Amino acid sequence: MSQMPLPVGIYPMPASPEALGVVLAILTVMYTIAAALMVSWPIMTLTAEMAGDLGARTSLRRLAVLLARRTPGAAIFTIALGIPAYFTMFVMRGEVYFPAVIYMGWFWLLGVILLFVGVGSSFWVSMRRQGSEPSTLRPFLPDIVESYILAFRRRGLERPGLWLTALSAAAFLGFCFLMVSFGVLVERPELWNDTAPAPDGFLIPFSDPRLLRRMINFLLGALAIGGLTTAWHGADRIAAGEVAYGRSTLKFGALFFAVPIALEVAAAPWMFIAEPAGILGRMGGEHGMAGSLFLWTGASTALIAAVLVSLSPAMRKPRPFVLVSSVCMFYSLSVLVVVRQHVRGMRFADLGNAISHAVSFHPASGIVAAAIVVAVVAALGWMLAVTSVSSGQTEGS
Amino acid sequence: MVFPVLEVPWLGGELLMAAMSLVFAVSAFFAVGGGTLQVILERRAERDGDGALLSFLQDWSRFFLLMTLIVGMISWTGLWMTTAVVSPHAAWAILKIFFWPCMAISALFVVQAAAAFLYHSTWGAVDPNKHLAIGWIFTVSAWLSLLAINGVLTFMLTPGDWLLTGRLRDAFFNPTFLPSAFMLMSGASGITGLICLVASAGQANATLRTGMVKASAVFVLPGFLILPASGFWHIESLPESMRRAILHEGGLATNLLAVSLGLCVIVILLGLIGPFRKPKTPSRATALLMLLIGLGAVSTLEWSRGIIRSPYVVTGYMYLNGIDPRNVGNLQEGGFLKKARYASIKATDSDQMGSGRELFRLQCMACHSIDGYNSIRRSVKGWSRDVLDTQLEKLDKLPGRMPPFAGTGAERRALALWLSSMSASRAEKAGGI
Repeated sequence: MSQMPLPVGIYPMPASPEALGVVLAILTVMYTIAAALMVSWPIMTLTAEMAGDLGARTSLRRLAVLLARRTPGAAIFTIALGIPAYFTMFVMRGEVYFPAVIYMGWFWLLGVILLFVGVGSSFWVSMRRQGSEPSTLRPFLPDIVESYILAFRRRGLERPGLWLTALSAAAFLGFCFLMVSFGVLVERPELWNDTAPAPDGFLIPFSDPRLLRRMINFLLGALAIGGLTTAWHGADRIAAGEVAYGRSTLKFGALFFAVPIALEVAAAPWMFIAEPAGILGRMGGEHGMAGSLFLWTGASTALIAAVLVSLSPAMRKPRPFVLVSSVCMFYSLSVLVVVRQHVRGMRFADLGNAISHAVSFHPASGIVAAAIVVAVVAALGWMLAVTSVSSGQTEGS
Repeated sequence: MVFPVLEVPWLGGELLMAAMSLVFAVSAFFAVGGGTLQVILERRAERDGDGALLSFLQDWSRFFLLMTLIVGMISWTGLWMTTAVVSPHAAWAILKIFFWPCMAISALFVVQAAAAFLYHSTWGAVDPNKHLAIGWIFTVSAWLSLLAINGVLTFMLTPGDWLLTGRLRDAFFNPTFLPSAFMLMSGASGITGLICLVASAGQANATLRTGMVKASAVFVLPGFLILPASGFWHIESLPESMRRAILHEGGLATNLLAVSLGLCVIVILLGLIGPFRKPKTPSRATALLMLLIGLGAVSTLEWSRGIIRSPYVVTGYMYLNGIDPRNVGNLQEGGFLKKARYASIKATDSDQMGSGRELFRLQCMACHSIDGYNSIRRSVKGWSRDVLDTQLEKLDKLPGRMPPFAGTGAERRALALWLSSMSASRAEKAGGI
């Protein structure tokens, strides 16, 4: 791959590369979780609705509506967390990211339209639906009675809702495909550096073997994270005494978690072997952090998480299993993000050292930043605490 | 020039960004003003036990959620995504200078999103005081994010002492920060009041309708009174050259300012003659007309701000085409094409027409399109190569507020040659991009 002459120190950096790297890793983990839910929940909604409809299982149809109602939240938080993650990336390596953006400019702008379609249709489904929330009598009724009531009321998605969910799933998948393409494109400078023809705004590296593999890897990861959150919800409902609905939700979530993780056993190495030989060699042990041991701990914890979640439906109290598997999965995801970031860093290091000098961080800025973080965490924590008191009544609405 | 340029046909990059900015500005105004209106009215409804108003507010919170989250969040994304494509130099500079404020804005948006969802979904499910507190959390974070965005926007117009000190504090609290903050607040108040007026016009309950019209008057009248006043305060805070340009040169910026002022007066007069005088029977058509005029007042004022910033994207620091003003002399001596990384032609000797086309693409397309918005073909129609060359030589002295041509004499002549081909008829045009 050709070398690219990079500008050095056009503008000073807002912090040291190390500090920005940490900020980027934290934001990417949070953004990835939100994006995974945004992509997986509409797919799981459709699956749950169809499975519920075919098998006349009201609990799955109730789950379908619950997932559909939560999808707009996942989409909005994907945007809210994704923007600062992209800000950080662009600040750190603008000389790489901006040209790549311009070369795929029209597709990049198509992303805005896809987001609008996806978010708009998911909000439509979420806000238009009237019923399917649990009966207000639920605290006083055993599961069998509630199931009986639900069986005689249509509780699933209406037909337009089904189509719109499919539309939002397609739009979110399209958006994520564009972002994955962008991730591959930035690592192919020969396609967009100064020796390439002038940009037409339609560049997608279709011929790159990493594109399909990374997309499949992302999709499997997204489904696994969506499955885990559903398993959480099921375990939570069992603990709240809704055993029938909780069990079927837990099983559904466990299936959506375990199958993608099992497929990842093949898909992840398939993705990594598509990396250029030099990168693979360095991942294999030359560099401590991105070395094989670190990568293996991530893979192992994901497998442990899959085993624990698979066992959980058979347990009388499944919550501890799901809790431990969530911790494992979070670790695994963090490892993947750090390795991914490190690999990209190595790739950029091959292109030249473009990190310009950092501005010294003034203590006053630190105090302001700390105050903002504390205020944001306090506001979010307080709101969640206040509203979780009533979650028994509002869940699903 | 370290980045390539993507041609945006017809619209041009500038108009695309302006459209995205306008959508975002309206949704941000509504988030700030609408949030404030919502909590004030909810408090009143709870105090008076006004069930009809509470019911209206539940519907309002649904509309509010859709406007702020779908329109607001996506236009915010769209604004940055568009800027990255059409103005990468500016995007990179602004992100680096304002990285931490941008992170703070993002954190505030996360709080706003959570608060908007919870506020909408917990009507009647949590204690009213706590519900109101969630509304206040949204409102305060919306105000703070608007102020933070104001710091970035005003920096682009008046970077002030930052040009000398390079300190974030000087960049953020620049000379127009305060008057612009008042402008945005009054704009937010006015636009929200007008949206509330449109919503109230369709209400069946007469008492509720009257109350809502009165509430909207409280937002509309001060908003559109303070907007022009803060606009003039803003002008007073500008550097002398900009102030002269907007007040005395009689160009587009002056005309837009006059139009904005006129539209503010029309909104107030229409309100006083119509719905605010007879709050029991507000006409939806009048309310909609007032909303359109109000949006016109706000957008023309913003447009005039954009014009007086020309030819800079950050005054004194970066031209709209991404060129550093301090570097123009070097480029005029050493040549532009040689130093522009993404120039496909590096010297004018071999292909004069091609060089001219390349120079236009890299230096002019940030603002001009070929045949669409700010069309270069229309601008140079009927001009000969010699006239164009003379014009290019003193480009920054011309009334159009353009940056100087940054290139050697040979490059300038090459550009003049290509422009003269544009000045010919379409059928004769050569070397279109």
